[in-house]
Amino acid sequence: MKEADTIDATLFREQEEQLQSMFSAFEDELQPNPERIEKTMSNLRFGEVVEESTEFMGEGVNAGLSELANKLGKLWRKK
Amino acid sequence: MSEAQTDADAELISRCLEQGDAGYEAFRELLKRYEAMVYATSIRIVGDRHEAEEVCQDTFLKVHQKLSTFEGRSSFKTWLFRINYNLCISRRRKLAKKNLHTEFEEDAVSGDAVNSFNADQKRAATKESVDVTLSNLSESDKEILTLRFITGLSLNEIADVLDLSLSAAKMRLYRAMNSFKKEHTSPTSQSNQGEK
Repeated sequence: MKEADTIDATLFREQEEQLQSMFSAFEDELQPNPERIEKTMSNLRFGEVVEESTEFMGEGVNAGLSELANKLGKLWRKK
Repeated sequence: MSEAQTDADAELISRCLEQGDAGYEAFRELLKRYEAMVYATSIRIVGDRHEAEEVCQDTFLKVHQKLSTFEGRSSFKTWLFRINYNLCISRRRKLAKKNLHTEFEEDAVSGDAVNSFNADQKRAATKESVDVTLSNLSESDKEILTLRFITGLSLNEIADVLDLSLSAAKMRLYRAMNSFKKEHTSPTSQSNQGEK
């Protein structure tokens, strides 16, 4: 706590405000990106389908399929 | 973070836990609310657009998987960014090990910035110069400035995400702001920006 106490509160606030103003240029990046959102939703559904379809299988098969699903998922994302 | 936003998150989370399409639709809403923020944060911590996209997806897949275990001890936003931050750091380490990534991909963000801001060149220029300055800072400075000014976390939330005390987070942010200011006004930084 000692170190932080030595920070001049006014100076800290001024610095924050100054940087805040510069970083406000990034606001456009904070808009939802439909393409990325749909990609994530597809991956989510894909992952769940694989999980459901392997539930009834043995552990060894499950582990293999899970690895395969991960790899396919990565390939899918690269599309 | 406003109380209204926290309440809205809580409501969305409980809807996400419903079975079937209702759950998916609620999760899509959660994505709309946070995905861009997670991506903008990831790209600056990981330093590579493609890897950041993967980290962003991994973050939400993990969130979906773990959502039922979220106890609400911290805000959802803090919980989400703790997951995201850890995945970013882990990805950055893996990249460093593989030597696939040695330097921040300087055009990782600024390319998009310039394309989408032809109509507002001054703003695009500010954004580019801030990104160049950020890329010249230490990883630690870059992380805390990103979490504060791009992700928009409060000091308390940053302390939680980085697992620091509030005073340590404040000191780290203070030092990072000073480094940023120094770097931003340095002649080297100015000339780098001029070359781009």
